[in-house]
Amino acid sequence: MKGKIHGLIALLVGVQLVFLGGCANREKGVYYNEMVDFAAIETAAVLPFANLTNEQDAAERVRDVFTSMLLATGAFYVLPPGEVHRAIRRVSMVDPSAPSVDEIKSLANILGVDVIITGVVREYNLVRSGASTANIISLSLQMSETETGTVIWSASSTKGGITLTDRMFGGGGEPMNDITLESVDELLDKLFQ
Amino acid sequence: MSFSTSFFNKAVLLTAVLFAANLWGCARNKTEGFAVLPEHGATPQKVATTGQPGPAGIGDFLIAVLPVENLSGTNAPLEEIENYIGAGLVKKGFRVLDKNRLEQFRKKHRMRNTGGVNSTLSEALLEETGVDAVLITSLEAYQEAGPPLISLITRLVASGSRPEIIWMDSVGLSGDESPGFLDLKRIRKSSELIKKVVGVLTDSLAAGFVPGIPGGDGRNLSRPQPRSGRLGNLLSPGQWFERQYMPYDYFRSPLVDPGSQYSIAVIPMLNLSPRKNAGVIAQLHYVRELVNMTDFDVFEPGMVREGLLKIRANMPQGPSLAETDLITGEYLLGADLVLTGRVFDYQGASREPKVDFSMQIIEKKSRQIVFGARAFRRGTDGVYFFDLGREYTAHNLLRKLSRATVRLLVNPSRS
Repeated sequence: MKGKIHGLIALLVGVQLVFLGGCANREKGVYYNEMVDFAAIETAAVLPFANLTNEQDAAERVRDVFTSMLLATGAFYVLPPGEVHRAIRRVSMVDPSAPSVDEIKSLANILGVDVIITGVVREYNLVRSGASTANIISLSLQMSETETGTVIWSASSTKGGITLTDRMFGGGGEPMNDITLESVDELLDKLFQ
Repeated sequence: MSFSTSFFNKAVLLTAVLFAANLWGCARNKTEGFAVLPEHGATPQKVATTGQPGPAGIGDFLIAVLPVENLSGTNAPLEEIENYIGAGLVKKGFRVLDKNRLEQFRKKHRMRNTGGVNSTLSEALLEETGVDAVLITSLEAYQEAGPPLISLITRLVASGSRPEIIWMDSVGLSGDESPGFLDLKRIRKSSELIKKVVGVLTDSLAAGFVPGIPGGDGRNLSRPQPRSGRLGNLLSPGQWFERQYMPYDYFRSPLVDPGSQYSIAVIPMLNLSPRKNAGVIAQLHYVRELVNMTDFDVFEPGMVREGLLKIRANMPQGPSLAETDLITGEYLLGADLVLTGRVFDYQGASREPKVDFSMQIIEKKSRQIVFGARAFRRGTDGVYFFDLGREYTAHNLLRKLSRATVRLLVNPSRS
């Protein structure tokens, strides 16, 4: 009998430990460099995003939404896109969406920013399943420190797609602009959590 | 005599009110009518016979009507619109410079761009033709049928060494906007719509014209007082409804002082939409709102264009800080602020207009973005019952969105 009680206690402790593990909150798909003081970041430059979609201007649209919303948070000052473009030309970067460490440092010398943000737009289109259609967006962002060129934050977000309601009652899902806002909002939440 | 209880008296009162309402309706029709279409250059004597004389001082005011700049991206009856504008001005009592004389002037000075005037041309216009101001009209959108649609942006610029915008307004109408009972008010002919739009604009010009106050170059010019947007004014019902056009996110730096009188250069926005000239259209909308809602000294777009040509500005991603320095430099424009932006969508031809853009203002001293906003809206957004609140033209969407952002700039407490 005593053995059974011990076994039950051990089981309960085990279950508790599993739940406690869940409390160690690190959101899935988010990377933070624990050594960096994010409060010390004052200025940021958002580089052009890589576009892996068929929509020609998807990356530029998403970058514009992200830049505006990041600026609106008031947490960092974000440089105007024209100034970032000038620096990219001066550094003669081949692929601004994936800069090397040296290129990040050179950019920082010209722009005087603390961090640079790069991104990849993976999906930005209409998806179909049977008679249902809906817009979907999927993007991931990276923040790199300009002093060392290392990645200090990375996160991704996917929004939209066909829901159960869309399948049952039809409808074209949410407008692309709305899901872009939701997705960027989620990424900013992940950055400032 | 008991007035309040008598049924007869109530019936008489009701009849009188209806009679007055009918009379008012007739008067309104009269002002919108375009019976005669005289040629340009009509003299004040002609004015007296063709229409109602305008307010005192209007008859002394000579205006050069530039040919309509076509930003619609389609073929449009530009000369017809120009003639209607000229006729409308004459009807209101203004003097209009003879068309041939203006043509000679344009040929002499090789003036090809009719979308604005720079300081050199403005000064030459004053010296050689004696005009007090130049009326610049841009055709934003035009659709012949199904339904007809027209949007015009017009501004009056004072002649002289420093061209100053003294009045600016715009109208966008679609033929199916107010169909009325049994479609009786639906406009099916584009010419009718042109007349209506031009009528609204000339009425606005005559109403906003304040003669007798010395302005630039000592001539009888004055800029109308800002209609709204200042601190201390209460929100009107119209402004309350316009709240739905507020951008979903905006940034406003404490560096902006609403009380200061800034000078601002609005540069053409970067056009990333398939619609031709969408960047210039957005630029003009912001110029109009800044002229009408703020105390800012807004540079005439013709001067901004000249400045950008001088520095051979090539801005594929918007102005850099070095280019902003050049624009704000004393040897070019000397502006305190530079407004720039990007247009991602401008769809006006479809049944559901759509506008998507972002704008930023860069300040001269700090070399920083001091205001930024992003706005997106479709004509049917927020419409649930009987097309109530629906927008039929991209012009009206852009107008309301730009107004909302300018309101945030000058008075953030209203957001």
